[in-house]
Amino acid sequence: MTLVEFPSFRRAQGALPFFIGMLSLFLVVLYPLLPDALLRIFASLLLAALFFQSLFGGGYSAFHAGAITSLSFAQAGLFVSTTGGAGSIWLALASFCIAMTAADFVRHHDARRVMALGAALSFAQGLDPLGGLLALFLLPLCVGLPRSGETRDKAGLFALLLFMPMVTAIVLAYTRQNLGADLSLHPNTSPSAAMPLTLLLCLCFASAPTLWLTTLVPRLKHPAGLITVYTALALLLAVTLKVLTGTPPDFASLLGAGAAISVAALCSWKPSARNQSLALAAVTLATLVSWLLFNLPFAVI
Amino acid sequence: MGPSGAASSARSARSFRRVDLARHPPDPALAHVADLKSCLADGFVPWRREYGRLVIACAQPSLARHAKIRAACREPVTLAAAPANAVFDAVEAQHRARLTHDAIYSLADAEPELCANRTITRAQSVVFGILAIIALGATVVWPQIMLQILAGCLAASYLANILFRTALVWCGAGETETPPHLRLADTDLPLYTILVPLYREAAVLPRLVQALRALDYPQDKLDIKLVIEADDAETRAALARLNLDASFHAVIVPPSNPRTKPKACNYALRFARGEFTVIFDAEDRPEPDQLRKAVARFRAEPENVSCLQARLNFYNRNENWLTRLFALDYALWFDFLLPGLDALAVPMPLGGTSNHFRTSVLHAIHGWDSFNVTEDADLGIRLARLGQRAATLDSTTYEEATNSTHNWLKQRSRWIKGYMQTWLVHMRHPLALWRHAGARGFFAFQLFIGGSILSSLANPLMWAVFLAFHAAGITLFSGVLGDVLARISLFSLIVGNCLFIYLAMLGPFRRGWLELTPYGLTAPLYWLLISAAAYRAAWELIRRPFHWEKTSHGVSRFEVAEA
Repeated sequence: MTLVEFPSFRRAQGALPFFIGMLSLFLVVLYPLLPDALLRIFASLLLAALFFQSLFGGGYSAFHAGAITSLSFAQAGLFVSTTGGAGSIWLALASFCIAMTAADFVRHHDARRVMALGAALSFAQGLDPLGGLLALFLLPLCVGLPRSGETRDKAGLFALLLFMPMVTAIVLAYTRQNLGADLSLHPNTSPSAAMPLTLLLCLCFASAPTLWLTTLVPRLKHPAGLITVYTALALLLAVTLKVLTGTPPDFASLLGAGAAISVAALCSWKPSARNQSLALAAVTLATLVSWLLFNLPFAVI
Repeated sequence: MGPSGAASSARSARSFRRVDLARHPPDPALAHVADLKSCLADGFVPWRREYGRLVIACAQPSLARHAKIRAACREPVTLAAAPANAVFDAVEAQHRARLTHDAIYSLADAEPELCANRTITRAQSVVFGILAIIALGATVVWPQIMLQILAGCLAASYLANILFRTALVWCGAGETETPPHLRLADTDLPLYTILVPLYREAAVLPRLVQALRALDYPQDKLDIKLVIEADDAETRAALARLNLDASFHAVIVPPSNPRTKPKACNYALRFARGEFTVIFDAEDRPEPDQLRKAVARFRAEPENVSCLQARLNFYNRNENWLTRLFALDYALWFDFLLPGLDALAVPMPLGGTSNHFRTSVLHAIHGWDSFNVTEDADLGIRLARLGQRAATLDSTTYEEATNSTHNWLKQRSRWIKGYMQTWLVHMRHPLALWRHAGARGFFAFQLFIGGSILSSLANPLMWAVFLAFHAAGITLFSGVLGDVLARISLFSLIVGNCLFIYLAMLGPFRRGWLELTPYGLTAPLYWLLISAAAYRAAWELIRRPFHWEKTSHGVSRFEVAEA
């Protein structure tokens, strides 16, 4: 069961776009006035709720869903991001939303999932500097996964999925350059902050050649799980690109995003009793490893 | 009626004397022996007096009917058999004046406050006048504050409109209509009336007949009314050449004003014999199983679901840019927005064709408003106000999209004019609308009907203002409206328009017509046309509110096979 299939959610679904719209408007107008701690708490609670709901809705028991959610937040990346020690919770939120909506879209391939994926991809633009790059890398896979259809249909699907993140990028760049207002949550580190609008547009269009990846896709058997793995790879690639362009790596954010993606991967796993226990064990192990990884750079330095 | 009942009825009809009403028409002096309602309900016409006894020509004479007709005529009668179409033609000839009056004024007589025969009431004129004076006066005294109020109101209504449409698309996309797939036996299917209003449609008539014959429904259970204007000699001649069977009945509408499709439909509705009635346009190509699906759905739904709106789209969508954008428009409307209204159970403005009704309800609400040029949209709202529901039917009727800008503008301006009429009619008493439709229905009506009109009129103005301010420097924009209001206005305008484009691109997704999706990027040009049509509609509403601008059909070079 996905979020949209919850009975209470179905009853209130008509109000959802109003809620999202009002929240967006609220952020546009009031975001600069809100304290960072408040936003961080909001993001953490939202992410925890999404973790729990996705696991529980995916067939995990309440105990396992709660335990996996708690252990995920005990992992180094999410822990320090939530407590404000370092990094950013937003990249984790963006990665999780993209991975979940992409997997959901590939499974169901209906209009609602298209909207959800488009919204997640564009939401990611404003959440974190890597959100835009994630969107660019992930799109071709989403377009390619539907097994049938002519090239022109895939072009239409590509246009449909690319439209929202592209427009978001343009709007963010426009408001920054012409209104002097940065609507993203990371104005100083956003790649679009330093880029002129035209370059950003070129970057969006440049993603088209990556469509060749879609030729590999029809051979794959488990798209939902694959998407999460692919998201992780895309994230690594995006981070590498970022490091190559001279921005220092942000291990806390990266580890947090990794934790979020692993939860997304668990959601696509068939949750038999044995698998639930295995998942719990894996997340426990990941928590320990994450603290080792988090402290490793300091130890090396 | 079961098979044994039908057989006994046929045997019974064979035992009566047959009369030829074409060669021996009824005596006009007998027109008032029985009232029109009884004549139509029981399918009879007082024919002659023979040896002092009244002879009645009846479509389905039987002993049971004999008693009813005798009661209606209040004297002993002798029944004779005649073809149903001939009987109804004779009734029509005898009661033409009354039928014409009813077709035009039935709603106006019964519910004057719901009829568009007055474009604007005195109370509305006073309210609008006072608001205009206040706005003008305030603009002179406090120009900047008024500009801010105007911008704020426009931004808020724009935002509410786009959010509502997004909500509808979201809800409509989740609507997984699962019609009962039970295939009803032919004997269980009821008589189905099909109304097809025709005006100067000689060219498409053969293809229409072909499409109606292709319907997967027993021919003897179809009551097809081809509704033709009396002075449309061309279509009448084309019809005569087709040599149609008894399931087709040509209803000739005498000339009278207003010359609108709803008036013609009202006229023909009096002769409808089916349990259900559907409207098709001349160029329509319904999917063959549409009537069966509708019957199954009606049987499965509660009684208050009195209308089913089938989906519409175009078989000539790939003809040119305009038809592609029109197809995107229709796909969004019929595949997402209307199912969204259905899911939220709010008033649904019906589309122009393929509306299936329970005939009894249609009679009870006095048919269509003859003075409203989007009578279908108005009917959907009236149904909701009476506690009835309209739902969507998962079956498509393919139409011909207008492929020239001139023709499209005429059609679209008529639709927008009709929306303006509908909004004005139902806002004569806003509290009554609130009471009847509920708060949700009231706001849905404002956003869907009012919002469509407002966004069509305001969109070019808002863009012009935005571009002008942009050219003058954004500081001025913020300076005039204030920082917060400037942000809200820009958010509404830019994000709102982008969302509209996105929804246009999403439109064909359900049908898998993704080759049309990239054309959604050109939707702003299409909106310019819509705005032009909206201003034309406003002018037409003032100049000639009931004028029906005819859309030309049969001009596409595409055939239905390409759908």
